[in-house]
Amino acid sequence: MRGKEEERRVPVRITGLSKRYAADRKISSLSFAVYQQEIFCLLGSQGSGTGAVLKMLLDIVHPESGKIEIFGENIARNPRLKDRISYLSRDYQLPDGYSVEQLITMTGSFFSQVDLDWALDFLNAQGIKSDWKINRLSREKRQLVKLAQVLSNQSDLIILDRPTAGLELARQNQILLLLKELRDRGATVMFSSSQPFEARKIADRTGFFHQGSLLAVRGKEELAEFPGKIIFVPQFDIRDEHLTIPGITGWTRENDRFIIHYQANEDEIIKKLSSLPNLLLKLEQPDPGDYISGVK
Amino acid sequence: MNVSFLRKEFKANCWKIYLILAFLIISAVLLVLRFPRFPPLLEQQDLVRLGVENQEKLEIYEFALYLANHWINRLFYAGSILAVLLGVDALAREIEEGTLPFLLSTPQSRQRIFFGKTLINLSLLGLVIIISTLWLGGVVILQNYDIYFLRFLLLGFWFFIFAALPYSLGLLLSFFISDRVKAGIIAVAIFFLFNFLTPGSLAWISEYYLSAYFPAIEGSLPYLKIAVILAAAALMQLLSWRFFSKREF
Repeated sequence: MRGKEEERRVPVRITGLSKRYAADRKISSLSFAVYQQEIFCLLGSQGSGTGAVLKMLLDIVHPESGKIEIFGENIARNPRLKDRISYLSRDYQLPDGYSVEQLITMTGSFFSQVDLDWALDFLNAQGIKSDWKINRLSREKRQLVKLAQVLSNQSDLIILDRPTAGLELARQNQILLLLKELRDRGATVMFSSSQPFEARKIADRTGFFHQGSLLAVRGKEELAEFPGKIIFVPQFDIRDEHLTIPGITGWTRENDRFIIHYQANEDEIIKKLSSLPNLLLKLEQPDPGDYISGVK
Repeated sequence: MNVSFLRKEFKANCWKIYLILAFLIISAVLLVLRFPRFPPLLEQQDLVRLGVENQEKLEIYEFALYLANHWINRLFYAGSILAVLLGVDALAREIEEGTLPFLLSTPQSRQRIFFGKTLINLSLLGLVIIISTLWLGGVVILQNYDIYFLRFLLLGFWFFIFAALPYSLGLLLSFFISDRVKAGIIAVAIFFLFNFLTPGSLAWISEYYLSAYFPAIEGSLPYLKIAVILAAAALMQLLSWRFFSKREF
């Protein structure tokens, strides 16, 4: 098995990684690999340790033990490797005092291959003008600027820590499709998420992460078999006819929240729910126990 | 260190630089204009002969000495405050504002980021000293006074070496005190207190102007003092680097 793996180029290989990342939480003996030109999702709830794993890949957090190889090398010894990596940290905040274009140009100048025109065109398509000041942008627009900044670096490996955080549903889908497009162009994509539907939508393989442990890695087909769940808060009374969408297996109400269970047809369900008038579709983070128990 | 890093640091620190530069520029004009404009009644040697050896009295007649003393005084206060502010903000600002994760994801090693920031910030400080001294020279020329301008530039250079101390102190304290404002105030307080407790620690810089050895430096400088200043700054830099290299963000 290992020999077969080695035949392929492996942009990320983690072996026996351990690290205490909070007072009572520890990543222990973590091992997995991400293959070239695949989309790998680390699926886990807040505090599960996915962010710490991604930081260790960039040597922002130091592992206590274990080995990390990026393109077969130790990134701590060769930081120039980062020129081939686009990384978005969830902790990263945009600095004020710049216009969008100034910021994209400034941050891009740290890397050797950056497509600034692509970044500005992408932002323009999202309704963000290049002369807008960063400090006037909403949280969602800031997230889009961060993504444009990171993805404009034409790198071989894209590592994103919760890339769709703070984005509305339509934009989340747009970003996910963009990642798919980048994968098709030859990049390897690794991202963390707490939303199972994101993994289902684009990931070739998904690692289920829970309290610092990788419980299992599942392929696209296997993942599609897990039941899905959407939680939303409607702004008006939901009636049965609103939810007669193929794929939905049932729904329950908990105070002001509706929980929709489905088995398939996720895109269509989200699209139809989004199109209902006066319905504020607010995806909430599902309880990780629901899908983790399915993996075990 | 690349140009983008320099631009980034300048952009982040420009308000401090402009503020201190404005203070020094205004000070330069006021210092020159404030000097009593009357011809010396007596030559310097006559004053000495008459027993007037007090430096303050000599200053009344010797414009260059008056200017050197007062200029180094202004540089000391304004430059030290700027150095502390640059030191405190160098990494603490990036950590507090959440911009450090980006910097650490660029193809720069931590070592390069850390020492690059020190190099750039001290260069910005040096630039402030050079610009303000050039301005001082311009004002002096316009007022038809006579000074050894090169010596004033060298005054700035010695002060620049001295300023590595408050810069490093600010940087070091920013690792212990999470609030940048508090860290800055404490660093300024410690630095000025140290200087009050060691009177004359800066005197050698202004005395340099009067050095009989000029332009030969040999024999005219307190090498031990310079070595102590540089060693203390280097020690604080290394301690700060140790904290930065181990810290996780």
